[in-house]
Amino acid sequence: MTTWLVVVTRRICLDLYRRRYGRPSDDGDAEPRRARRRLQDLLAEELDLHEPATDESEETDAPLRHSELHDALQHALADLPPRDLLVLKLRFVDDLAAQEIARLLGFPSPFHVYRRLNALFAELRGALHRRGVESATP
Amino acid sequence: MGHLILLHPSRGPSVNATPHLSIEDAASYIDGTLADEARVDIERHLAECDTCREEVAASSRLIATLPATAGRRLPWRLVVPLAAGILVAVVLARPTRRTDVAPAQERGGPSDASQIVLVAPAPDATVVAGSPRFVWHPIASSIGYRVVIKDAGGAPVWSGDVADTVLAIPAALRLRAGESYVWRVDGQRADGTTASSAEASFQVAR
Repeated sequence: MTTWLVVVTRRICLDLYRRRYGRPSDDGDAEPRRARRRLQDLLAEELDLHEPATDESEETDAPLRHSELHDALQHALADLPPRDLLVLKLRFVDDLAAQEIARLLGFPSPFHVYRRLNALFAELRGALHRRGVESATP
Repeated sequence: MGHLILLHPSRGPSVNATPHLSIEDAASYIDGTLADEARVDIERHLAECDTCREEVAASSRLIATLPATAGRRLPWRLVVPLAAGILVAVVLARPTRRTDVAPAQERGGPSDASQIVLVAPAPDATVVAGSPRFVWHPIASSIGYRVVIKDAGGAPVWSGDVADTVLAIPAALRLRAGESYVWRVDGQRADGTTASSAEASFQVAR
């Protein structure tokens, strides 16, 4: 009952807020794109990724290599089972603490969340390695 | 009057294939009362839908702040302050939510070493001025961390305490574009001992 009331109240408050102040943007795709970008940026930091190795070292290629890295990461993320992708998004996009993720997803303890995250990082490093993106962390 | 529809009792939980979760599904998922198959379906949706995931994450966080005695029965005298609190949290919430989380006993993690390992920003990385995020690995038995930021000359710029291992610095702190800074994390353990990270530098993008 309490949970239901909190969800309902939050929806009403958001609705009232948007009626008064409007949505931040009319572009329906803006929020998901921002969230996806943020997840990729934070994962790229966490995994300590290098740009894909190329023979040229020209400055003008930097944006292309950056987008190759994000493409590779996007593909690797798309291959993850929903529950694993959810753990990553809750951690990196929603900023939930390990304890909160444990409670929500039914992990026995925060330690189990950390362990799953580390396993996911290793899996992602492996998937990215197969796509030619290297991580500084072995 | 449209809001009355939201409060109308439903016929019961159902997993619908339409764009967003019903209130009952969201609440049941948060409470952990769904059958396995329904839970799997909802997680599949949450993995793809930012709106529903944000709702579930935010609601779960709010519910965790309620007094334990609320249990399944919410006294009506709490409804108005709760609604007001939710409205404030929804309207004013900004990324530094982590600082509101009660200290959690963090066990295991990547290292029990006496030194805290920094994760992000990577050493000498360039960060975007608006939203640098500091991340480090937890240490065992920690009860809190302090992030210290200094400028390139060693003068203190900012320090803040946080319970978890991620900090997004407040908007009030302005890091200057093109400048270099140094940061470190000090950790406090339950037994009173402390641990520190190495100092690492980063630059703010122009």
